[in-house]
Amino acid sequence: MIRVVLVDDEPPARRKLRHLLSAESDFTVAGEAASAAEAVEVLNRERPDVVFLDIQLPDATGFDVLAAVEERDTLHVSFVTAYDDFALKAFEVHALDYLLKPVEPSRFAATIERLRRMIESGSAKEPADRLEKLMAGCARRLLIQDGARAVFLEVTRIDWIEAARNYACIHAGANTYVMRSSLDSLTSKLDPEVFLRINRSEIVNTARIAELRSALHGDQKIRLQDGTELAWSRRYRKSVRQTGLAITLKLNH
Amino acid sequence: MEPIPRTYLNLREINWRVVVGLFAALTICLFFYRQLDYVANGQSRPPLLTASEEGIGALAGFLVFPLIYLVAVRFPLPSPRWRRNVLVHIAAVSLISLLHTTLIAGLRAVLFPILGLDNHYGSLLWRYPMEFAHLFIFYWLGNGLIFLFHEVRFAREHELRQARLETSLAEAQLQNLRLQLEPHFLFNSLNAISAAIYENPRIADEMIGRLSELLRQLLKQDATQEVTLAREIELLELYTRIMEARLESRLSFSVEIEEKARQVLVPQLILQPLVENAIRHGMNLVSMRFDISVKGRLESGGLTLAVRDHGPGLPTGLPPDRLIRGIGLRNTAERLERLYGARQSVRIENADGGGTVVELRVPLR
Repeated sequence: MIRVVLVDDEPPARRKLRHLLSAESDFTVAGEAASAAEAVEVLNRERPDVVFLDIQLPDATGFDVLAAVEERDTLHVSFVTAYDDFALKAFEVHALDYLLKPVEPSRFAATIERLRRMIESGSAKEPADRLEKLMAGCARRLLIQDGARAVFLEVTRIDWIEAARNYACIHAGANTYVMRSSLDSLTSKLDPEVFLRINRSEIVNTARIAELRSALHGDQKIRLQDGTELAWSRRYRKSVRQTGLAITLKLNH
Repeated sequence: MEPIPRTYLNLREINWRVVVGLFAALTICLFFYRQLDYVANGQSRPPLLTASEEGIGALAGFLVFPLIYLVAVRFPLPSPRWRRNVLVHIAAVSLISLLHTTLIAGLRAVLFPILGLDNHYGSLLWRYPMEFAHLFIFYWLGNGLIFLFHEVRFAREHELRQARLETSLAEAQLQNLRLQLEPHFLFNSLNAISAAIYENPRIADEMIGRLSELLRQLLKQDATQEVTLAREIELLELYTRIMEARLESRLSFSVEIEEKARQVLVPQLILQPLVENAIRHGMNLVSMRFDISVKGRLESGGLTLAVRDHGPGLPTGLPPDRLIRGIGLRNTAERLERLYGARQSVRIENADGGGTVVELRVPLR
């Protein structure tokens, strides 16, 4: 049996795919998800062969979901979208399969046929590589496992991040999310043009900086728009000089 | 539409070059009028004398011009209080004439000796009524020109505003059309309908009906620009009921309108983009639900409409005007501004108890 997960925030859309799949005896629906966070959870748990993945989910995009999923190499992705110029272009560029809404039964049957062939021949690796390339440019949100719940957080909402032993506290407006992650691994997921490691245990969103002041020993004090004061240590200031002009410009904005 | 406030230019805003030019032209005309009169009668008279007399008369006129101008704009004759204003003008022209004649006498006494001319101004007692008769003509001529100048200005401003309003309406219609026909909304709705066809043809049929009605309203090119709030809510519900069919139990939508607010006129389809916006940004990240309410109430001479979601609230660190531009409210804000001038407002803020609220205030007609 080919195991399928359906991801769409609209129940009628999922029911329609279920209905179309019910005609394919070798396919079975292993799970459904109505949001990006739920999708990551279901995909990690079920490890399906195929996911029908809507691009526009309420809490993140399908790309963010894929970026957060643990095991991608054996997953066949069929994107579903109502209309998305940007994504469609990306699919064309990377030769990835997609379905347009409203999903046409004959088009759906062709996709099923293609999936069946690919799964039988065991060739998921090559599309998975293309997928990686696509996602590199499209994932914009971070999946945060905060206690029992997982939340997709728009990266631009993050003000600053501090490390606390094995955890990272992510400050975003009035909310603080705690996730089990090292700052190093977070740094690698964040855009270096926007997020700046300012000392051993803090990362700051440069767009939130209100003021920079010199302090002792070549350190600098950073005041954020919400009044938070952080220290930019000399060691980390040095390493920034190499990353170029972009940050300096943003700081001066 | 908000009438244009008839604000007159103050003295500093006047184009003084034009005023000086007009006085110069007047002086030249008066010089020829008088000098050619002597020539016609075969009298010889030094042109410098005539020129000095007329020049001093005009210079004195120029010096009292600010007074004439101030009276003209403070007490305009095309006004509901024109009777009072005429009396003010009569008093003003008499006083200004006294000042004008006195100025002429003074200027002549100073300037004629410098120019090497004899100062024969005659009996000042007769000069006052004589110059009054003269100034009286020019006083009204000046008033007429000041009035004409401002009327042209007002008309031009009015035209400009009208043109801007029309463009923004056309844009708003287009924008609304695009929002509705926003491919996402249209194709997702069609997808939901295609799902319903397998399950419940009647529901599918109803959804098609609603979608069609919504599209019909939007495609209407002669759509009157204001509708009653009751009608506006009906239009909004075409949209929200389609969204309810798509999101099912995850969307809860409520409307609470004060009874006496239902007949107030509002710009058509002003609410739909706000609700669409609330759905786009206002999902509660814990419950994955959309809890959206629209409230309308009358207060302090206006109608307040509030669209509230229970989502994550506003991103921090953005100034309010950036928020309005960023969250797709720009068009709404512009439309209201053009329609009601300063008597409207659009605010977006974090709601008490979580979520975001967008509040519109529009004046009553």
